[in-house]
Amino acid sequence: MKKNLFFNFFIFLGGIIFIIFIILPILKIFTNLDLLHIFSLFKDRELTSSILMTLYASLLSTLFGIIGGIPLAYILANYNFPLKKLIEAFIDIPVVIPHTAAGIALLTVFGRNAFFGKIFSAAGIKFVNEFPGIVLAMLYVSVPFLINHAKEGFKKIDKELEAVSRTLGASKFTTFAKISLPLIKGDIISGSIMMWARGISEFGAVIILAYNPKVISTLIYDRFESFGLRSSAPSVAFLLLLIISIFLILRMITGRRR
Amino acid sequence: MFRAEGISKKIGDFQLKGISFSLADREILSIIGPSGAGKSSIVKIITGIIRAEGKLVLDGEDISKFPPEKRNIGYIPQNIGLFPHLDVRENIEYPLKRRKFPRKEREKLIKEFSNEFGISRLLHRSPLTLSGGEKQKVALVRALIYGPKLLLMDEPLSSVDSQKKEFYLNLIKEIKKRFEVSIIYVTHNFDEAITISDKIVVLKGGKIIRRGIPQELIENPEDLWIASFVKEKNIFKGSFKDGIFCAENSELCFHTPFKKNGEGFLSLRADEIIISKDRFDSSALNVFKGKVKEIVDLNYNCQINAEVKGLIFKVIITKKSLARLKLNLEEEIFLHFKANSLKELKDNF
Repeated sequence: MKKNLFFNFFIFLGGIIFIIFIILPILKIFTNLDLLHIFSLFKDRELTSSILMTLYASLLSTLFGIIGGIPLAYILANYNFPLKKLIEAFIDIPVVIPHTAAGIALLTVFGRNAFFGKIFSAAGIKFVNEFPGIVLAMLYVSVPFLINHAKEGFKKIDKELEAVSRTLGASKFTTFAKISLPLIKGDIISGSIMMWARGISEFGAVIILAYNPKVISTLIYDRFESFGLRSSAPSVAFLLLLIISIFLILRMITGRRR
Repeated sequence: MFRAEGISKKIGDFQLKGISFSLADREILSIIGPSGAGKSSIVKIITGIIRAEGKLVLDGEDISKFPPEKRNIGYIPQNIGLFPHLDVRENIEYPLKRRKFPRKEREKLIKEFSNEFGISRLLHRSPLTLSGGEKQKVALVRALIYGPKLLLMDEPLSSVDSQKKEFYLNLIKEIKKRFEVSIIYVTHNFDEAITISDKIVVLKGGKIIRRGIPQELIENPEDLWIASFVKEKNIFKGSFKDGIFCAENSELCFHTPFKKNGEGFLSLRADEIIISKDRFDSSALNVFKGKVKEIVDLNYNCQINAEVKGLIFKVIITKKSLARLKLNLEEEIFLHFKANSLKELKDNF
């Protein structure tokens, strides 16, 4: 009985401490500010266009992630081949290395004088200090979230369903499109939201590859460095309000679907 | 008509070796065997999910190299395999859409089949809300609606209540006649196989160890695993020496027609043993004194379980004979059987 009491007290206390730890900095940002001042930031063109560009760049990177990452996840979940484990480990690397390092690694491949950088440049796509660079950096550091979610989803599919679909007249591709993909719709949606969210918050890789145009994380950092906490805090509050609203709406929509 | 010729496949440590069988139009062939026999591998090879050496011929056409979608084989897996994200109607319509049936024809077929199988009221339900029997009917409709030449069923009644099994076994027999389709029925359940099949092949360790019509398998199982399912059989383990078989864990030895030496198994049909109250001279070489231990009522017959030197013999006699002999528990009796009634069983494991 005493042991149970101690256990309940311990997990309750641990939970409370961490809830306070997560919520307090967010609340503190708002409590220190005048709400009217936050809403006046709608008129801050630099801030609003930076937020919109960040949301758009992350959305684009998520779309590219869906196009390339889902087939890769399907392969990893369904086939065995040499070096598969190594490839899976490499997919996780962008998540575990410092993102500034990821940015530098990208620069060595897509920089102005790098091989792929030159090829894309010839096709009119430049990455250094350009919008495509932001999308590329976001894609690189956030696509593992989508790939891993989709891979786990594909692994859960009952292989008999795919076999039945084939015997009922569907090709491999039709089976993928009509059976496998819809069955892991939930995993793809949650993986995409995770990837999009991770893209929005990306700073390290973006700042190396494309300091300008400024995504919201770069802009906040720039304002903090140049004008201090009092100047950057309203932008942070504004961003938090927007992001929290978007994710609450998304959670409600996806939660209802499931 | 369907024919499998010399199907061989190595999957990890397991190997299917030269599997051949055939079935005529409107025939049901059961493939039975214990788990690990290779039944699932055969199913995957016939559907085309995995490729193997050998030939599969359906209506004179070699389909071995065809992808699953071109084989025209209806398939019902063990877990029924209804698509959970589609409703019943969409499940049934799935093969018709893949085969580009025009919309009007699709509507007509769905209406006809759902009326015939009594699933019209289920059309807008999710498969997740159906009972085992309802799922089975929907899977049957989906597998038959586009007119396959062969229907492959892998342990289809594993999710159906035992009381309803007889109904579904009869339904499958009806389907064979009504839709003029040949059926391969894969199961580990011997009773289901003998109830439903025109022919049976027994698979063990990746090989066919026995084939025949159900009656042949019941009368002469030849194999220990098959014999274990035939309820009215006596199975003995022991050793042979110069035509004499001595049972394990007993002092009892019988005359057999087998001139071999070594360990082995024998079976003896329960209706080939004669019971008498007194010893009498007969042509049977094996006559033993025993005691009645149990009398079991079997509708028209009775099963007498008699003990002879620690060994239990199952003997089937009619109720009329039981009344005439007036047998009581623990009463001494004599058991007579011919050496030729004993059949040797192979343990194919």
